[in-house]
Amino acid sequence: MTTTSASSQQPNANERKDTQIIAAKRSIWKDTLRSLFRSKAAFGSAIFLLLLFIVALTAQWIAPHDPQAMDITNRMLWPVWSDAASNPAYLLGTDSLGRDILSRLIHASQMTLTVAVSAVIASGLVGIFMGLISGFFGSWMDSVIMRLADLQLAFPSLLIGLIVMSLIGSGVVELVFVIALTQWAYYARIVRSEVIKVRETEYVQASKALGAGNARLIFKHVLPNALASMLVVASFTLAIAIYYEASLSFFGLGIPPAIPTWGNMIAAARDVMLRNWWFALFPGLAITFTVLAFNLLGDWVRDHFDVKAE
Amino acid sequence: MLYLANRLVQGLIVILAALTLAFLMMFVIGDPAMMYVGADASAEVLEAYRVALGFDRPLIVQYFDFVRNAVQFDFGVSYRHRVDVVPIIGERLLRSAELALPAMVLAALVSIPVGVISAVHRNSWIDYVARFTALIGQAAPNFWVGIMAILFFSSYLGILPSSGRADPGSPIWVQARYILMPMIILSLMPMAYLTRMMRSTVLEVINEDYVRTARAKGLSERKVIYVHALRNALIPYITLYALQFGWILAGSMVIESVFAWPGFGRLLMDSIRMLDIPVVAAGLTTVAALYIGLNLLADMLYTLLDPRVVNR
Repeated sequence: MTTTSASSQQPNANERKDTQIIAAKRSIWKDTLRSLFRSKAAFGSAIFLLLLFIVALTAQWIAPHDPQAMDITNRMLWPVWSDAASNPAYLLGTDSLGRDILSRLIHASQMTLTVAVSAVIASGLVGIFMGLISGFFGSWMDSVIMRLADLQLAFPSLLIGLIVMSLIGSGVVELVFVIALTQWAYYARIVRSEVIKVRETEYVQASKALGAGNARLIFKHVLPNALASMLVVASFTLAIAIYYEASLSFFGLGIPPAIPTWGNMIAAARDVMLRNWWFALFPGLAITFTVLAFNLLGDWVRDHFDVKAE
Repeated sequence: MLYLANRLVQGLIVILAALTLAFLMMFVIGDPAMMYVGADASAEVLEAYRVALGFDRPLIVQYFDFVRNAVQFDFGVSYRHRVDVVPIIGERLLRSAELALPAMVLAALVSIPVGVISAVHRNSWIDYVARFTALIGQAAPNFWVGIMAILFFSSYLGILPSSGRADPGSPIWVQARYILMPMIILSLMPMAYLTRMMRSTVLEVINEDYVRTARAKGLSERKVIYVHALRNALIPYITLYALQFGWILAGSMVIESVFAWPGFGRLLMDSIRMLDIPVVAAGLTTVAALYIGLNLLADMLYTLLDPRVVNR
C-alpha cells in the first residue's frame, strides 16, 4: 500500500518526505520542551543546573574573592546574617585560614562539574565501546564482557572506588578513571541489548542487504535508539559522580586537598567544625541540591521517553 | 535446582575474582615482605622474612597457596594489627550488625506505611512531603548528614554523644544513646529508596483487577488496601529490601568512619587507606560472599512469595 502511494506521488515526493521528517523532528523538540516546562520539578532542576554551569564557567569573574587568598585578620567569620562577628565583604563567612567560603564554593563548582561531566563522557564511551563489541561480535567476547560487568556490579562501587584510589593515588584524572570504571557497565548493557534488538529487525536486515556497513548501523540505528536510555543513566551517573567525588575527597582519596571541591571543603571543616557549622553547611547544601537536580532530571527523562527502568 | 546451582557457580566465580584482586593488590603496592618488617629493615632481614613468609616462591604457587588458605578462612596476619585477620573480621561484623540491623528495621518501619499512605493519598500534602523528604534523603551525601547531625545534636544541643561506642558493660540505655544517631543516618538512604519504591508499587497494584474485584465485593477501603493491595506490593518490596543490605555495607563504611564506630565498615575503610592488604582481602571476600548470599536470598524469597515466578 505504501509503495503504491509513494510511487503515485511524482517528482517532489522526496522533498515532501524531507519536510515531513523535519517537521517530526521539530515536534520532538517541541514536545520535549513543552513536557519539561510542564513538569515543575524537572524545569526547576534544569534552570538550577543551567545557572550552576554558568557559575562554574564564569567563576573567575563572579567570585568576589580569590578562593586561595588568606585574610589572616578575618579568620572564621560568621555568615553576614548571623549576629556574631561577620564582615559584609564575606557573605558566607570565612574558613579557618581566612578564605572566603562563597568564593571557594563558586570555584569548587568548576572542579565538581568537570569531574562529573568527564566521568559521564568516559564511562559512556567505554560502555558504548564494550556494548558494541559485545553485541556485534557475540560468542566468547560477549560472555567475557558481560561477566566482567556482572562481576563489577557485584561489589559496592564506593568500595571499588576507595580501593583503586588508594592504589593509584588521588588526582583528578584518577578520580574520573575510577568513576568510569564503576559506571561503564550500565551503558554497555544498554548498548548491547539495543544492538541485539536492532540486528534482527527487518529494516536493519534490509539496509545490510543494501550494503550498509557496521558504522552506519551503529550511528544510524543502534545509538539513536539507545540514546534515551543512555540519557537516563547519564543523569544518574552525574549525580553519582558528584557524590563519589565528595565522598572520596572527604576521606582523603579523591581530589588533592589543596584544590577546592565541595567534598574537600567538608573534609577541611571536619577538624574545626565544633563551633563553625557554616564551614560544612554550604558545600553540603551545594552537593545536595545538585545531586537532587540531576536525579529529578533523570526521573523526568525516564518518564518522558518512557524508558524501562533496569 | 539447576538455577540454584548456576547461581552458586556464579557466586563462586565472584568470590574467586575478589581473591584474585586482593592477591594482585598485595604485589601492586610493593614488596609484601617489607610490609611486615618495615621500610628501614636491612637487606638480610628482609630476605629472611621473604623466605619465611614464602614470598620468594613463584607467583603462581603463591597464588594457589593464597586461594587455598582463603578457602580455609586463613587470610594471614594483618600488617597493622599483627594478629590473625579472620577473628577481627568476625568481631567487627557483629559490631556493624548493632547499627545495620536496627537501621534496616527502622527503614522498613518507616518506608512501608509512608509509602502506602503516600500512594493512597496521591498528590495530597502528605504525599508531597513524603516524596520531597525521600528525594532529599537520597540526594544528601550521608557523611555530610552525619557531620551536621553531630554538630546539631552533640555540639549544639549536647543531648547525644558525638561518636564512638559505649563500654560493652554499660546499661542498655547508655549503649542505645551511642547507637541512635549513626543508626538513623545509616537507615536514611535505604529508607528513602524503599519509600519511593513502595509508593510506586502500591500505585501500580491499586489499578490491578484483583483490587477492583475486592472493592466490587464491597470490602472496606482499609481491607482493600492493607490486605489485597499491600500484600501484593510487598512481593517486589521484600526482594529489594534484601538487596538494600548490600547498600548498607557501603553506607556503613562511610557512617562508621564519621562516627568512629568500631565496626566492619570502618575496619575496611581504615585498612584500605593504610593498605593493610590481608584485611582488605578478607574484607573484600566477605563483602562478595554477603552480596551473593543476599542476592540469592532475594531471588528465593521472590519465588517463595510469588508462585507465578518460576526460576529456571
